[in-house]
Amino acid sequence: MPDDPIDATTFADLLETVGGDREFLAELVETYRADSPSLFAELRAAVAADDAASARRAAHTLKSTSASFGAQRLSGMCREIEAAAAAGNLVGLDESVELAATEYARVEVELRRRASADEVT
Amino acid sequence: MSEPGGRILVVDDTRLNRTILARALQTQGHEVVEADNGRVAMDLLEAEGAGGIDVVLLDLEMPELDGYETLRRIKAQEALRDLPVIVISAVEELVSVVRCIEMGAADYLPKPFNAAILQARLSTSLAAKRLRDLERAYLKTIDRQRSELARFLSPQVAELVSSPDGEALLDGHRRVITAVFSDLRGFTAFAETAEPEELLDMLREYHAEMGRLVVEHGGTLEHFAGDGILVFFNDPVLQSDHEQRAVRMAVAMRERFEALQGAWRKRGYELGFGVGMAVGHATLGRIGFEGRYDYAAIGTVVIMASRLCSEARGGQILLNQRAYAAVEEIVVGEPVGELALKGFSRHVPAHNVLGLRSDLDAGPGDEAV
Repeated sequence: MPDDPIDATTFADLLETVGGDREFLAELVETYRADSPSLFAELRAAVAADDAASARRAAHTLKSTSASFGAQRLSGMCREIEAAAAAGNLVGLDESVELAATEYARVEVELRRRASADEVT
Repeated sequence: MSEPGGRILVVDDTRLNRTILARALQTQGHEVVEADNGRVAMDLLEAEGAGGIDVVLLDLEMPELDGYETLRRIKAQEALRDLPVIVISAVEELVSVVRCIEMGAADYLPKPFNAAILQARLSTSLAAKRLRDLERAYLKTIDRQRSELARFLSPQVAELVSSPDGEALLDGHRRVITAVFSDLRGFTAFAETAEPEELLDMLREYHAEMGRLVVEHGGTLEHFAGDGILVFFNDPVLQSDHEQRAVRMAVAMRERFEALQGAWRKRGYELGFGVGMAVGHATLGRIGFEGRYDYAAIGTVVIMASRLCSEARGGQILLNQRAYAAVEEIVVGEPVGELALKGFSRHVPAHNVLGLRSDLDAGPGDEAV
């Protein structure tokens, strides 16, 4: 699927990395789903408060964890936010954050589906 | 791979990354210790010491103490310097990886993680760590053997045994040396009458004092034989001033003997100290048989020193012509004529050393003023 928010190869690699343990993979997805909303909240608050350092850190973490699951588009969006924050440029960043949050919603649905599926496809 | 697992420290502030790595490492047979920032990692490493952790997996972006600073601190500590550090980095952060490798990181692990790459990088670093641990253990053993050996051999010879150049020198070579032979007059009579404990105590004291002077002057002690001491100079370490070192040592020994004799006299021993010193060619190297080798000097120079010593009366330091010529500038001496020495067909002109010029000039003259 060209529009798949999750890269199948990366996701399969992750399963292999954790020793093929699907249950454990499902736990990882749960951890990600539990942590990400508060990171988005931090990111929004930081952008609103013009706090570049906090924005950068939250975007960095989201970039890194999303990449682990193969959420490449989302990870790329977060990387751009991180770079802008690192450069101290928060103007218009709230819009980028909302776009990333929308992408996250798609990622989250797809991850849940894959985690409960019998096979990684 | 059937290699045993290592103890891996995972340093990453993102819980999810730590969890994934920990599981991956455990799956591959490693034990995992986690730290959520550099400060926690440093505390852990310092508490565990060098032996506790085999490899560190280090994230770069962390609060409190980031990866760069953590890496710098690890490499700045003697005990931790050899610990392999693998930095965790996303592909787009390769510039940071270069910087870390320049700072001493062993390798990098790309994010997102891949089991095969993780295993390959880790086993390389683990192998390097184990080799270094082994090397440290060997070096410690060699050090221990060397210091143990130094208690039996002269330090110069002990050094030879464990140095690459040493083997050639041990095999045998010819060289000009200064040989110094000394012994005690009246010792045989004393040894016959003294109690064994008394005799051994006295010899221990004598050897300790004389041995210290040998080391101080850089002499190679060939052996102690009862009251006899044979020391040579200019081998195995070359000494451009070997004759002068030898005569200074002989004079210092005589002074030291006089101090000891003062104490011995109170206990009823009446002993005298004599020295023979000669300069000439000798063959030096390992002699003996498997299981008991000595480093020895062989040649007429050694016999000459020994014969001159036999001729010396208590308090005399007798030098052959070549030795006297080399030290004339720094000593005050007197000719004692041509001596008929056992084993030498020609008579040997010899000099007695009264003292070092520097001592004699400064000594009584100052008191007279």
